[in-house]
Amino acid sequence: MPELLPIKSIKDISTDENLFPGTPACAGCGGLLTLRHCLKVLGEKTIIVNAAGCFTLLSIYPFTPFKNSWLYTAMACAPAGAQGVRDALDILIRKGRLSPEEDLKVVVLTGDGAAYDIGLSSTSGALHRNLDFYYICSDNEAYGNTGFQWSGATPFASKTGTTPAGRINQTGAELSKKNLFEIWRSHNPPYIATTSPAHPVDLVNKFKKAEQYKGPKLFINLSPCPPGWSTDPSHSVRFAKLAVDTGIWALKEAIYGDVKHTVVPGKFKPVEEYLKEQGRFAHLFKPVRQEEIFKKIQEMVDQYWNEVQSRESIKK
Amino acid sequence: MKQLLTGNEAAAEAAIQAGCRYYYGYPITPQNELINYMSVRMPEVGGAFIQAESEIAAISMVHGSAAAGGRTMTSSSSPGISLKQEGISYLAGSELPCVIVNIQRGGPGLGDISASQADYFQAVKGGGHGDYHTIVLAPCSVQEMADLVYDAFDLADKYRIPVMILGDAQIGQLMEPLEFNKKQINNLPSKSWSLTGAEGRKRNIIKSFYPVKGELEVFNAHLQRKYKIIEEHEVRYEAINIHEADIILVAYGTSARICKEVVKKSQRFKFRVGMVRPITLWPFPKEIIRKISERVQCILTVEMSTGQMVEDVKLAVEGRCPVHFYGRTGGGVPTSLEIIRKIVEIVPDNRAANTLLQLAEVK
Repeated sequence: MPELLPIKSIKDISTDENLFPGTPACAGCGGLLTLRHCLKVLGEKTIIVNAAGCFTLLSIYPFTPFKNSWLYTAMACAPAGAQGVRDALDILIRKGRLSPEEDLKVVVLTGDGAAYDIGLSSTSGALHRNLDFYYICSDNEAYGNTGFQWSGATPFASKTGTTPAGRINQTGAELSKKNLFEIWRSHNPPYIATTSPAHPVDLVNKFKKAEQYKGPKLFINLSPCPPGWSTDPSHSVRFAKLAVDTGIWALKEAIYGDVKHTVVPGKFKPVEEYLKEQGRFAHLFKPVRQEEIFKKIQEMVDQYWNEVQSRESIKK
Repeated sequence: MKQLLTGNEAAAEAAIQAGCRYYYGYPITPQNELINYMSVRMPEVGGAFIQAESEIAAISMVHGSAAAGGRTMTSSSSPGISLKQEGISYLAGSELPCVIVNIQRGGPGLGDISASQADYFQAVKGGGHGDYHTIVLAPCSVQEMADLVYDAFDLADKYRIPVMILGDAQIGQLMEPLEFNKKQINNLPSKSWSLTGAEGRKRNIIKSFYPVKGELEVFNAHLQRKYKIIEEHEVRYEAINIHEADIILVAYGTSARICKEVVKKSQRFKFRVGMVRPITLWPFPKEIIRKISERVQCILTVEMSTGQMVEDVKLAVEGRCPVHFYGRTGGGVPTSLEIIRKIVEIVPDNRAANTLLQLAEVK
């Protein structure tokens, strides 16, 4: 395998645009920003297989912002749809009706509802069969397109449409976020990574690295969601950055199961800094500060990084 | 006291008042108000609210809680109801009472999120695999949504059968004043069949699996006998001006609201339009339609589909009079003007109908 040359700065990112402006996505959509970054690396020769989620809104032909092709499947089955597309491309290449240079990258694009919940078995099947595809999960930590209901990706203590914080339950979501990274990793695919719209250089390098491998290449992107998180749309990147700086969103990759953290903050900020400006956590601050919950969240983050430190011997 | 609520919220509140303590949902537009409402109200009444990981999981949670004898409900919209079909078939096969709310949206496939009535076939003909029916109730207002949800739970328990509320995006998201007035039903059978622990009694078995040759046929015959009883006793419809009418409109849900407007407008012109609004889509009110067909000029069925209920109307009419159809799809809602135009198209020589059309067009 030839030595990969990672890019160093944002200036090295391609100026090609494969995602045009003027989409029906919400202002300040973190997922859309990342999708733009992803498509810069993936290039024009991609076919996107999408299942119900916010990005459904991008497929309203002819008002689609894509240069590439698009297939829409039932919500539970985007990776299965990708299997069909991959098979069709392979057959065309084998029959000589498509040259290998004209081959397309098959990219599954879903939200966290499909990735963490209803589409998990379909993903598992594709991983087990070692399907050659990309999976981009735009994780805004709830079902955004239906009005921000709880999903398996919703973090502990977040308020959503179906985990309201009120008289009976002051916490919001009582369950912790599912560990999709580890669920995927247990299938031992060649490449898994987490990404952030605040770290495009890290993201581009990860996609470049992934490109070398045949098989499943999976990405989970923390996508700040202004309407759902109740945040200022102009601050989405700042929240994405805060998530990394507080250690809540760990930027990492796993090559054939071997985990490495790619961006480790020199000094971790307290989680409260990330939580305090988001409407979905406002109930933790008013009418009374719920110290126990802050403590619990901070402990979860600390425990995670302590384990990482002992495993990867990185300096915290 | 009147309250102003959406149809979705009215369904949720009525379910709570009807004693539903187990609700399992999954987000899908246009029924999100229902699941959101339940997430607030269920904990208040000490019930179980779970947002499941899929529609199949949600209907199977309903299966479990129904087997334990609870009043249980799930809700979704068209694509989600498609996913639930296997579970609904199991519930029907296990003779378990439950309520399923379908707030229909456009299809097929992803379709759109606006009002539609294109799930009629799926709802009334069984939907899933096997010979079965669910009772299907079709509300046409927010008030009726609440009233029918009460009745749905009672009917489900009375006959040990899944009951579907077939609404649409319009009924689900429309806000109207309503009054919750639950009637007291006393003579419902006790759920002695439910799985509550067999201490001090013989064990109960709930299943839909009859692998021994001959058993399934016996069971199917039993189901059919039950369905026949329901067909004899539970048909409901609203009839307006059916005596004297020359032409009868048949419509349910949102379409029926518009047809009512046509009937009202026609009265001033001595143009005799009547209407039958099926409230139970299964069992279908075929008897009244058969009777009407013997004396009217024709019947016009209006739906937000390409023509589904019209087939049941034709089966009831059995060729006694012409049956016409007017339908819109893809978020299109029939207007009273369109319906009047269609009527004039059917009876071009009727002077009153033409006058009605002229006036409607001027407006």
